[in-house]
Parts: sequence; C-alpha cells; structure tokens
Amino acid sequence: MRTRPCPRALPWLLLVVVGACDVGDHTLDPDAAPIEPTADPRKVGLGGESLVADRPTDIALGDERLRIKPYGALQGEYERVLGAAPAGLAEAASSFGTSPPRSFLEPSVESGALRTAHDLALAGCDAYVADRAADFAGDAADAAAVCDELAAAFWSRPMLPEQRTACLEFAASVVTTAGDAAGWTRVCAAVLSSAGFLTY
Amino acid sequence: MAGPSTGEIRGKAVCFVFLPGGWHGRFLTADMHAAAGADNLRFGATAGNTARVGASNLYLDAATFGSLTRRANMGVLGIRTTTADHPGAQINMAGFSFAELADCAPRRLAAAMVGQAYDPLAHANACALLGVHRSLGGSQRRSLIRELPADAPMRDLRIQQFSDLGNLLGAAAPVDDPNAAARAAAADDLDAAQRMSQPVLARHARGTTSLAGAYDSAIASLRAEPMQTFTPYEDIAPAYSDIAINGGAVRPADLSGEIFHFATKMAAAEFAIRNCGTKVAVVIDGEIDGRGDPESLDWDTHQGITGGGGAVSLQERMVRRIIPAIEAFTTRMAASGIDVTTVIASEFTRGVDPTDGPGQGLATSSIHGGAAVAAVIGSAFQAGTTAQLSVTGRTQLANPDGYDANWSPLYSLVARGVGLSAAANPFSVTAGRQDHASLLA
Repeated sequence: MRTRPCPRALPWLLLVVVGACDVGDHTLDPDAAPIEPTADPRKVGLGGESLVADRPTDIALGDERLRIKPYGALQGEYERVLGAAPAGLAEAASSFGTSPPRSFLEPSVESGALRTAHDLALAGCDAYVADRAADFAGDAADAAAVCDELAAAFWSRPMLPEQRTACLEFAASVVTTAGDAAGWTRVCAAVLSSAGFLTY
Repeated sequence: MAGPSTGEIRGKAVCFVFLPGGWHGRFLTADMHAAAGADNLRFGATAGNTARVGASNLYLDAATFGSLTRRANMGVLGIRTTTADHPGAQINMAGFSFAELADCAPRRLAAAMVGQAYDPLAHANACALLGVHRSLGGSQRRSLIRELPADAPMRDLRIQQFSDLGNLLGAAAPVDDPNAAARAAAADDLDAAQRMSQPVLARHARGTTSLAGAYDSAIASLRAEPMQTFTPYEDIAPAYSDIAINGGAVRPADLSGEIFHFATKMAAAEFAIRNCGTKVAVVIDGEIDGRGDPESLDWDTHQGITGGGGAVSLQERMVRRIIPAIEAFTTRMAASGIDVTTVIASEFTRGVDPTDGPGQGLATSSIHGGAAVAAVIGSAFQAGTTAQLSVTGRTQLANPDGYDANWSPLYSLVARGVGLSAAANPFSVTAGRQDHASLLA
C-alpha cells in the first residue's frame, strides 16, 4: 500500500491538509502481529506518556468489540428488523434502564429486562410470522432456511454452525406441523432475544 | 428457588439498608453525643431529644430511631474502621466491595442461609439488590455500584439486581400461577437464545457480561417452583405510600416503574423477601440523577445534623423519608410470619470539623469519623449498644483495639441472629475482641 506523508514544515496547515492524507487501509488483517503497546513512538501523548501502555495485548483481533444495545437504540432496532415496533415497546424504558440526563451509563441487561425483551420479541414475531406466512409455511425440516433468514434479518450476519445447530434443535422441539405459526413465532423470538440482536 | 437445602435457614431473611456517605452517630448513640455537651461537640443532642430504650444502655435520637415500634429489638454495634475515605470505608465494610468478590458479604450470607445446596443459578434471587443506583459527580458522591469494575464478572457476583418493578414482579411465581405454561415456554425460548448467543458472549465477554448473567438468572427464575405463599404487590405498596419526599410524597402511583425512591426500594425488598426466595435483600439510599429529589442526595453533606446542604436538614430527611419506610418494613415483616433482621448502616459516623474552631462545630459542618455504628433490628436481638464512642474531634471508638476492624463482626452477629451455626457462619470475630453477643436476645 502506498502512502503519502503529511506535510511537516507548515504545522498550521496540518488541520487543512490532514483530511487529504492517506492514513492507510483500515481493513483488519486477522494475521497481523499484535502491536506492542509501548513500542509505537507515534502513540505518545503530552508529557511523553504512552497512550497505549495500558492497552490489553491478550485480546485477539476483532474480539471484545460488542456492547449491549441501550433502550434508545432498541427502540429503532425492533422497528427496523421487524418492520413495526412491537406492542409494549414504548412502555418498556424502565425495564431496560436509561441514563440520567446529561450523563452516560454503559448499558447492561438485568434478567427482568431480558424477559421484557423476550416478551417484546414474542409480540413482534407474532406479527412478523403472520405477515410472512409463505416464509413460515414449512415444518421443522425447513428450519435451516428459516434460521438463516432470521439471522440475516435480525443479526445482519450469518449464523455460525453452532448457532444454526441450536436454532435447528429448538425449531425441531417447537414447530410441530407445517405452517405452525405459534412454533415459528417462538423460533423467531429466540433469535430475536439472542446476543446477535441485543448487542452491536 | 430450588428445593429444600440441607442446613437451609427457612422462614428468615435479612434486609441490609445502607445510607452512603457517612451518617451522624447521634441517631444511634444520642447519649454519647449529649454527654459531650460541655465542649459543644454534640451535633445537637440533648437530654430532651434523647430516648432511652427501656432499662437498656441504648439511647436513641428520639425523633428518628427512638420512634421505631421495634426499638426494643434493636441492637447498635460499634465498628472500628481503618480508613475514613469513602471508597476505602465502603470496601472495608466488605458487604459492598464488589471489587472484592470473596468478601461480598451479603452474597456470602445469603449462600450460607440457603445451605449446602446453594447454587448460584438455582438460587439466583437469594441475594437481591433493590433499586436503581446511579450516581454522578466526583469521588465524594460515588455510588457503591460505581465501585464495580466495568469488566467485573457479574455472573460470579450472583447479586440479583432489580431496578424496575416490572422486572421484580415478574421474578415471582404466584401460587397456582395461571401463566405457568407461558413461563415454562419462555424459559425454553431463552435457553435456545442463550445457546445461540454463546459464541458472541464468549468472544465479547467484557461488553456482554451482564447479558450472559441475565440468561442464567432469567431462565432459573422462570423455571423456579412457585412459592408456597404469595403476596401481591398491590397489597404491599399502600403501606409505603404517602411517605414524604422533598416537594411532595411517594404516592401509590409512584410505586411502579423504576425502583427509585427509598420507600419504593423498601417495598420492593418486602416483595422480594415474601415472594422471590430472597434471603438477603440489599437497599442502598442516596442517588443523584437529576430528577429533582434533593433528599435523595447521599449522606455526605459535611453538614451538622441540622444542616443538610439544602432546604431539608439531615435529621428532617431521616424523619420524613427514611424512618417511615423502615417503620413500615419492620412492623409489616414482624407480622408476616417471616423473621426478618433489618440492618441499617453507613460507612462511618461523623466527627466535628476542627477547622470550624471552638463552638462552631455543631450544625455547620462535620468530617469523616474514625468509627462506624450500625443498627440491627429483629426478634433475635434486644435493646443495647456496644458502641462506646468518643465524640470529640474525629469521632472514634473509645477502645478501638477491643474491636475487630471493619464489618465482619456485624455480619457475624447477623448470621448468629438468623440461626447459622458457628460452622456455617462465614464470618468470624477474633478471639478476645468485641463479639457483640450482648445484643442477642
């Protein structure tokens, strides 16, 4: 990859020019060697303190990136993936907890909030399955396609093999006949109550 | 809520109430403060506002703890502290040192009360923290919960937090629950969701630890056996209504949604103990979140007892907001058939600010003291005190070497009070030190 150095002679131009600098390709290379926290001279702040000295080095590239979606995000997310906000969503703020005014709290999930999320998922999936009867016309033998479709819709990413296995096994236990709307609703709700949707 | 456990303490529970910031020892040791009158360092205690409990050596502030119906079953402990800074004192009290999991005293007490079959999953509600705990500002206003490191393993803490009444009410299964089938189905749904979540939770554990714990707790709660008796929240809430807060009162309509006001937290504690299998309920007062309840400030105002950092003095705050809820809780639990020990504490008592100069320390300012006092109320206790305080200057125990440092003696006493044997008691007192046994009935 070719890079063009930023101009150094005229620091006052830096702010103008920096936007045009090629700062490199940000695509993650899973095979890249970990960066030694203290070895990078570019990451030194005022006072000569390393800005990355306390950066963990035992985390694989791409790990530890997901966080819990706060209620404010979930309000839009349910509607985005389901097509309509499930009944009760507007009244569920206190279940999930919200940050006080002018402050930030890292979102977390209590068990009760998870159960509220499941209630919302059931309500939303009831309508979701009804509106897509053709997609849910099969029986448990068709679960692979349904699970993949739900993951794509709710998680925006495909299922891993072990996730698909869990989804298939659950579908086999709750979808009893072809077009079993109640059973498919529960499969839908389980996918929607999983970390693939509740985190980002 | 699994089946009976060998060594389980049944029909008993503990409610630990913590008032963060360091309160005035005068509430519980009024005579010692009154006795210091000559040097004008008594925070307003006089013979006129001091109430002796029967013939005991316990003298209480008459308008606050002295007014409680169950004061004849109240013991007051003197506790030696080793630090007077808030985080240190909170950590030293062990019960709320979330960073020190091994010393997380309420959970340890709850586990001991459950007995040998204690399983953090099956007994997820055994130790419950009731209410929202959000604090803003600097270190002087830090909430105990803020001590929790961002990546603390919540799944190992096993303190079930309920910050919303809907969440709490859903954790209890009524007798002959008409929704039993739905609860079982929901447990299966979440079990499947948990399995589908495992790769994500494992790879992103630091940011998703609460979700991982929520699956465990929710599934265990949904699969729990219904309690033998059930008390609807509608029957509990009215007893905690009309308790004053600044600019109004907690009304029945307020007793829904977020568990925010102190009275609501106490009502939630009653519900959890009655219906959720909770052995140890934890209530923490003192929150600041910008929603206009100045009386919810913590107790670290550095004022005298008649000051308060606002329009309402610390004593008035106690009279109007804390004591009525404690009175409702302790009297109702006494009549419930469940033998509940209520513990009320703060991280230390307050001393007189020496910078005020002679004669100015009464109502205007205070500093962190070098000792703490705690009250235990329950049928296992009798009126009395082990607190021998020197209240001049930085309030401290008159004989600090006679007391074990920090809070193990408090929890040890409570464990004895609920009937745990010496072998099952997870807390201890050093031989020869004050064991507070005189407070046991």
